[in-house]
Amino acid sequence: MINNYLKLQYKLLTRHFKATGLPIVIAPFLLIGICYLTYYLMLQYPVFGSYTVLLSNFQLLFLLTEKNRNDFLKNTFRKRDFHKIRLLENGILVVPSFIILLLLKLWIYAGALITLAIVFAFLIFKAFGQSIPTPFTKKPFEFIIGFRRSYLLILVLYILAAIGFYVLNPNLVLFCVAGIALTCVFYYQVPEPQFYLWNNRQRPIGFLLGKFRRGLLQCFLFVFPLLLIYAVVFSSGWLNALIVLGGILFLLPFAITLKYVAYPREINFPEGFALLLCFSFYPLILALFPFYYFKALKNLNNYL
Amino acid sequence: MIELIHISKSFGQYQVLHELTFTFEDGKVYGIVGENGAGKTTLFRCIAGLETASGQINANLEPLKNHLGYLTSDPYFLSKLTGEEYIYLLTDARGKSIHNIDERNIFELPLKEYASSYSTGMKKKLALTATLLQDNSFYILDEPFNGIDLQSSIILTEIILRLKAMNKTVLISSHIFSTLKDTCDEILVIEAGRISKTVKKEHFGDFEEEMKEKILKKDIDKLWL
Repeated sequence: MINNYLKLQYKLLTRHFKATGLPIVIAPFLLIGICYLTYYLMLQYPVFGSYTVLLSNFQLLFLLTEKNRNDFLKNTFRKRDFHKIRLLENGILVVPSFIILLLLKLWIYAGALITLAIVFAFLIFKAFGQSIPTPFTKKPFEFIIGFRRSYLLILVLYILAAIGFYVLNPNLVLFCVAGIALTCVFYYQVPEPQFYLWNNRQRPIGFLLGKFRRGLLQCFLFVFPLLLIYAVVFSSGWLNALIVLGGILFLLPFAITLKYVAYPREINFPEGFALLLCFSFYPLILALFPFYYFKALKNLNNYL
Repeated sequence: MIELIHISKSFGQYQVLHELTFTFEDGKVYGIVGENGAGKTTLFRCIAGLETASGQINANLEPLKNHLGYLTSDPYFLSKLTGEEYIYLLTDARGKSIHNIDERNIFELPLKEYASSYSTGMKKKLALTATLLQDNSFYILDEPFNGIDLQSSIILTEIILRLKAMNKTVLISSHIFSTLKDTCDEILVIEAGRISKTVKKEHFGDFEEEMKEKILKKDIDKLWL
């Protein structure tokens, strides 16, 4: 029974991969490539690299605890099988990161990762009351949905930032700010149904600029308090705060642009690759932005 | 006013709409009837601009889509978005700001709950509320009575009549003839993508009888063959 479920999950994964247009045979190589890149980056930045790996896994494990999904599994399988499935799913998910952490002899982080996988297998997060409150109610929808899917990660990042202030570690605070901004970038991963775009009265240029404005305002709502405290507590490092702020100013609109370049499909390898290139050499964003911006406008013309 | 001139639509080899020509006038309610797959929803999607079609669609307010409220037969809601947020999303997209949302919640929907968890009828009522709050000039209501309770049906009928009184143009598709009889000025019968008949209000009674006779004779008797 469990075997069949896992086979089905594997089938679903391969279908998702095939939908990207890439042949399935390259999937294992891609996974190895990503693992190698992660390993390499962690060799360069062992502390923040480990944090990133732990927090990324934390968010993925959290997504698997979604109530409706778990209700379905509970209704379908016996209680013992349900827990076995959840443990297996979490185990499979963290295996690559776990191996990397072991190879780097980061025992504590590896232990923490396994603990997280086990704890999350027994947790189901229900809504607070009817729905999770957000500060974005009147301005739907990416940040509302994104926040409800990642509030725990945002909370952890805020706690880490508070620790950073407490132990006077400016890098940890900036890492948290960057982490929050990156989380916000992922809010734009899922495309809305065509009806939602059709319903909009704006022309592509107004629509896109409106999205930039709203996205930045909502993102700043998360990061601005941290940056402000940073500028006060680490007054000599205010320039770093400004650089991070400037980085977000381009990164988020770039992610929004990529979303509407790819629309109506999800952001995929070509756009993901562009984003990755910009992460490895940030100024590239300035060169790529106009190209993708006009591409997005052209694509939006078909829907608005 | 919405004017359709020789509207045709094909999906590959399959032609769904054939040279439809008709004018929907202001302040009138039109019923669109036809069997499943006759092309009603495709026609609505073409008018809304969600599908491209050959021919011409003209309106006295341009662009038409910015003045059109479209209630789809199966409204889609993103997960983790509450009813209230859905209303804000749709009205904000049309540049309308709604303040007293609880007072305007005439269907008494649980607006603080996730819309994706609503029942079929509640989803329909939520989508309808949002569409109405956009304050459009034209409305397309695709199967608005499907899945909603008796009380809400009565409210919906009254809403359609109010829209008409406000000089709005309303296009409704429904399989429930009594609801069309109560609200429409004219009914268009679509058969295999063609307007096979238009029936004015004064002939609704005859039309109902004719339909009953045709359908009952054709189908029910087969059960007891």
